[in-house]
Amino acid sequence: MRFFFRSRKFKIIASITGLLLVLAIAMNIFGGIVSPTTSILGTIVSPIQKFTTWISTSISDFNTSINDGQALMQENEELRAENERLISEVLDYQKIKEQNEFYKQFLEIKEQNSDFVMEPATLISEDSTDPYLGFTIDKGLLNGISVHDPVITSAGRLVGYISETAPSYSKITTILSSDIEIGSIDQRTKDAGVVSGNLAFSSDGLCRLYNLPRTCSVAIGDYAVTSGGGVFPAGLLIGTVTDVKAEEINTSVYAVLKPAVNISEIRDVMVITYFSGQGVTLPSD
Amino acid sequence: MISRERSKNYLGYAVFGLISFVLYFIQYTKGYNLKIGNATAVLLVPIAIFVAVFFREWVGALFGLAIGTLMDITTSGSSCFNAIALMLIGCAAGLLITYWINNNFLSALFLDFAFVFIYFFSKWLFLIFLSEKAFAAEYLLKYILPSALLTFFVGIPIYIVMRYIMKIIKRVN
Repeated sequence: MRFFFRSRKFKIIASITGLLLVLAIAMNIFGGIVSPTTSILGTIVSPIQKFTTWISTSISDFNTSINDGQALMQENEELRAENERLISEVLDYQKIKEQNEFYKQFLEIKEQNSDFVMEPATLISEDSTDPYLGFTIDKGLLNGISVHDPVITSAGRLVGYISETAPSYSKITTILSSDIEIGSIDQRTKDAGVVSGNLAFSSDGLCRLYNLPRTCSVAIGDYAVTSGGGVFPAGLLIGTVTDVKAEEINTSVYAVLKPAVNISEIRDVMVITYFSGQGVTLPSD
Repeated sequence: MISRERSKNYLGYAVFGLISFVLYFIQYTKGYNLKIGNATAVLLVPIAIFVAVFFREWVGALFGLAIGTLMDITTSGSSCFNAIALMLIGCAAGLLITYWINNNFLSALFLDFAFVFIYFFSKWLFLIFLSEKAFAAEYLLKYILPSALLTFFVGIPIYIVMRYIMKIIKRVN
């Protein structure tokens, strides 16, 4: 083994390790950058990922339709052939309907928030080992997306923000992550707090609204929305309060939030690439 | 002229490269990853280990680097973690096979077990524990260890398939 440690190959491996460590440190310090090798490889594989996701979605839609069809077949055997034809038609119809619905909601958000510049995007891959359900979308720097852009669903519900971006793809940190901190208010009581996730809540698909004063009147069933300024525009729905608890380490309280969007089922999202007040920090922040 | 031994190796690299690519898309396409309860198998880790077992430390390191870089495309906040970890794992597994351990089924199982657990533990340490200590131990027991165990078991059929492919490649040449 001594020979290996003296060889040129070992020096190359050690140099690559050193280079990657420097890159990793730089990525942690500056945030949001993707290493050049990852970026190049990502640019190559993201169209293939888009294709494999399309296949996976089509198969899953097809299975759902087949299951529905089987229920119908049990009810009416003689309509089996007719049902199968209808299933494929329904499949096409559902796809078009979903797409229409998506763009209709997109237009509604645009009408309500004329200052928003949005970029529709599709999930191309997800890391199933990520405890916070982060995922990758098919749009990147070339589509005007930059780090910290807010990500919402077509219904205007907050999903997270862009944490890393490359020319043709971007990674999303979700509202379940402990890396995220969103200035928020209780829509009913106007109590202000911060929404963030942690490991304990993310496994149940929940996050928390913390830093609430003990005197606040936040109650179960209330809606938490973004307070605006900085990274997120005001008024985006984050989730519903399912519980209110006292903090163990200080005198404040926190509310357990059930996100308004089921992150594990997301397929299409909107990235808000511009809104008025973007990057402006509010006095309360 | 390329020697017979080299062309055999190139064919092996191409075949295992293709397998890794396919497994990568299976791993990261929504709804297609291998999941049982809280455990999620990371199919590419055993591949990196076994490539090192068959082609030794240098190819193992480069293969690990390539696979790790692919994985970093999708892993949020990984900061080259997978590239570094899998390159070092590939290199270490290759070195152990070259200098210390016989290349057989049992040693492959041992390397699979040891390096899969090292990978998952270091992933937990660097990507989870350092950023959030509060529930990290619970997460280790509930998610990381079952995932490591599942990945180890999934590695066994992967090794058998890879060894079979290696035999075919030897026969072809």
